[in-house]
Amino acid sequence: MTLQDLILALHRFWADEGCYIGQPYDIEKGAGTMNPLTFFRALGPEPWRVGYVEPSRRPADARYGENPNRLYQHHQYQVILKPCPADVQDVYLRSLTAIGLDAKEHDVRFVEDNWENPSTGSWGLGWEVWIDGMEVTQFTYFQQMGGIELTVLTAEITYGLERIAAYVQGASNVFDVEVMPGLHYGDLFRRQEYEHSAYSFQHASIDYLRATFEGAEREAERSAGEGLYFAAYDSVLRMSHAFNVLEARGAIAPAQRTAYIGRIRERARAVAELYVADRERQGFPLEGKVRAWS
Amino acid sequence: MELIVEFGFPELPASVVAQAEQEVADLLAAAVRDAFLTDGDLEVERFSTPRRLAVRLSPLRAAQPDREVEARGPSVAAALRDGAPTKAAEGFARSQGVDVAQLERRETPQGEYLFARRRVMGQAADEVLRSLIPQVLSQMHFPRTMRWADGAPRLPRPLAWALGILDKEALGFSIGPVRAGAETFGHRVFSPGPHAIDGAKAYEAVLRSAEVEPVRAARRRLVEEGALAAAQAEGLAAEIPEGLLDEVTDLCEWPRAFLGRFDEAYLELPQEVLTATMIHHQRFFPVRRPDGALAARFAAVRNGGREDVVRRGNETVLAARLADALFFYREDRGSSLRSRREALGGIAYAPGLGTLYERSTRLGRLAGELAELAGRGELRATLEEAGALALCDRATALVRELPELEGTMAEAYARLDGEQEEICRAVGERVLPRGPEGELPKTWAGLFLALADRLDLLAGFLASGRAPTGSQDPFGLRRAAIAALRLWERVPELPLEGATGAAIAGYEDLLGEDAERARALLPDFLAARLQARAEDEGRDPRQMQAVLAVGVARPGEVFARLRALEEVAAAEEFTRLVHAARRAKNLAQAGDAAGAVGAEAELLQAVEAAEAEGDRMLASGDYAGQLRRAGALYAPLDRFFTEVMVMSEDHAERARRQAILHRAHLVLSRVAEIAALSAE
Repeated sequence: MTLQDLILALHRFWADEGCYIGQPYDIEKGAGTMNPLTFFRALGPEPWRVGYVEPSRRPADARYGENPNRLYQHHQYQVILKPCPADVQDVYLRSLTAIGLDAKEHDVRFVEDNWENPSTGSWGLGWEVWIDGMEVTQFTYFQQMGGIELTVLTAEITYGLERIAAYVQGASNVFDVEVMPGLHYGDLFRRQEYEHSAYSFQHASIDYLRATFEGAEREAERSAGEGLYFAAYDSVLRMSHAFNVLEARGAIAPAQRTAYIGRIRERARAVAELYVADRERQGFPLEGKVRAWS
Repeated sequence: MELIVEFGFPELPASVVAQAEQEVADLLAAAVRDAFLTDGDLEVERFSTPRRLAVRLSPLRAAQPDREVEARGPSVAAALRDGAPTKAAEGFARSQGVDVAQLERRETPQGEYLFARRRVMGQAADEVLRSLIPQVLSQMHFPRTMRWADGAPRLPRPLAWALGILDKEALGFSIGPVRAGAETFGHRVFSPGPHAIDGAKAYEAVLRSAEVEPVRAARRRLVEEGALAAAQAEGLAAEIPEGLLDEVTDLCEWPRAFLGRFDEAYLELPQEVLTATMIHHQRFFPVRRPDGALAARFAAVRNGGREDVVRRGNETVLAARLADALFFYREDRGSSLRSRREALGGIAYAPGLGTLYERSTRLGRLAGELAELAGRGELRATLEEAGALALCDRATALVRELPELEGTMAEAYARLDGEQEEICRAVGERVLPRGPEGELPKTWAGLFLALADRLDLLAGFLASGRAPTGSQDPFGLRRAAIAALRLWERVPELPLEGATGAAIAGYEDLLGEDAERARALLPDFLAARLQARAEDEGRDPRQMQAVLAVGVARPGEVFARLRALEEVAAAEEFTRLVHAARRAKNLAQAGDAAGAVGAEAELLQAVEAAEAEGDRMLASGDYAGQLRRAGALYAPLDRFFTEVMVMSEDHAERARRQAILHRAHLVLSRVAEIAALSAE
């Protein structure tokens, strides 16, 4: 199964489960959880089901395109099920069958792995899912997002697409993964991996990144002051990415780290609160709206 | 009657299963006893897998016995006015369902009260159990819990199903949205069910036919024997670490072991790298040849799938990890460990606390001074050398990728470079203990280097104002203090002041006068850890306070002192000694004791004898002996307090008497401040 077919199969599967098939959000971020389709929609009582691919940038994991498994940018397939169905694990196992990983053939394990993102004030309990000893999915029951306790039990399922594709194809190096017949992952991304590694570790301007962080922080605060939470959240994402590059660049001392993260968290919390208040003012418009979600 | 209760979950964390199995059984058995549903002997059988916690109890009564209950009401003073019942008395009678005339008057230590006695009809067991079982779940303790449904107790994972059967009858209780039934679920893939349980006795047989082994000990045996047998089949021996065995047991419901292989080329890696990769990353059991060397095999356990597919998959995953490790290892071996020291100059230790290069210099020097203070000055040169090498593995690729191998790789690379064996051991042992229960260094050099590592960390971070606050301890200072105290117990003669001073001196160039801040903070920081550890171990916190009240001149002695105090304090006559010690402390004042007569002289003599003898005992570490010797002061103190008026009008007399008491107080405060144990 090619990487592309894998994505199409997941789209089909989750669309049939009543998910809106969303799109990646075009600001750099460390994980699909930070896409507004998850960050905002997990908040409040409204139901929600979504599936989308998110290119996730982790500057510290960059390896110049030389490591067979580690990448600056990897692709997550992100699913949100709110409220979480009681048989969510069985649904997930069926999705594995849909991409050629039958649980009758393979050993599937749910190994405790709790999730926390201190820079958005979010956490949850869950598992990393292993197939034959390889971690392929992160499964989380969200408990808090943007510093706000969640009232509806919500499940997040995040597939690591490169890993699954490599496993299904028997490729030992991610760059050998076939994206579509004849086209390989390396053809698309090797040079990009090299450049982003060199940039993140050696060439990024620390002054520029600091100024970006601080500018975005002011902008997040200002837009939130105007009640523009989607706009403010874009600035929060910019703060977060600038921080990640600064850290990879070695420009953040361990003792400063907590303070930086605290500043991002404070802005994230402000937009989360605005969102919840506004949805309430609107009478939670998605409640009872989509038949597949009730 | 026989009761079976099962709570089903999506996979619980492996780390909580064993303890939760015990706790749910204890709580349910206690609740059944408290509800009068047993006549005495109760057989408790426990079951658990990652997806279930279950308990079977028998024999149970079919119903509670009828019984008399008694309730205390208002005091007679409040309940009767001029012999007539007040509103308070009437209200109490009403709440108990009895007539006012039936209330009884009875004397209690708090005065005379009204009591109501009434007969309560026993309820049927199923009725009682329906309300009692849900409460058991709410009473459980888990390290991390989540909210999963309104009105339901927080649990580590959502409750998926519940089962409750009394003999053959389903109990039908509810927990949040989950309604209990008489059905269980089998192996998630092979035999999901639901499967009916026909009576409490049938429980494990039904599950075994549904490919679940619910008896934890039996499952553990399947894992262990399976792994051993798989290796045995090729004439090899699987290595079974206890912690890994427990974890694997609690990661599967139906374990089947298999033997996998990896390329012989990876055997070039140091065996610590191979075992760490197999154990920590993959939960595999390493396999050894008859000569003890690692074989290019691993024993693993699967919970599902087809053996050939699962084996191939696991082999692929391990091969990828080992390929990574080998790549980094070869890169590291391109230059010696020693040659990496310069690179440490480019790695920050912490802001304001310099680089790892500076830290490595401090470690060698500090470890040498600690050795000197503990009377092992001959180790100084070795320790300086070990300090210089100790952090060099931080600049290696393998440790950058597998940080848990810090220390282990320093030792392995040092040995490959042909460094002295004593130094190799010391740099490996520097990172010990790895946890609160972790193994301690076995060599003296390793011990001093490990202690220097923790003291350097504590001094640096405390001096730069980064003490932990509340539950936040981002730099691991509490963990470091706990490790330091455990190491210190191996060198109890090492004094706090000297050791702290040496650690602070290491920072003088970097921090200037600020380094001195640590001198005031460190003793309290260590004392707080000692107190917390005593409480964690379930010891009496007041006894630890009494020990700490004497000061922590030698932190390594504190627990020995505490144990001695516990031993002596267990004696019955100890309470009166505490009382006398308290009186002595309250009246004590340093001064001249000359001119004592009568009971004063007798006490002074006893004090002097106890001082001399007690000091000898302390010198040999006999803390209980000194405490007992000090306890002999009770009789002369008692006579002194009976016969002597301390606060005499005569100033000289008063000062003399206070001075004698002061010396008695000192004798009673050598191992622990006995007066501090007084409740007053």
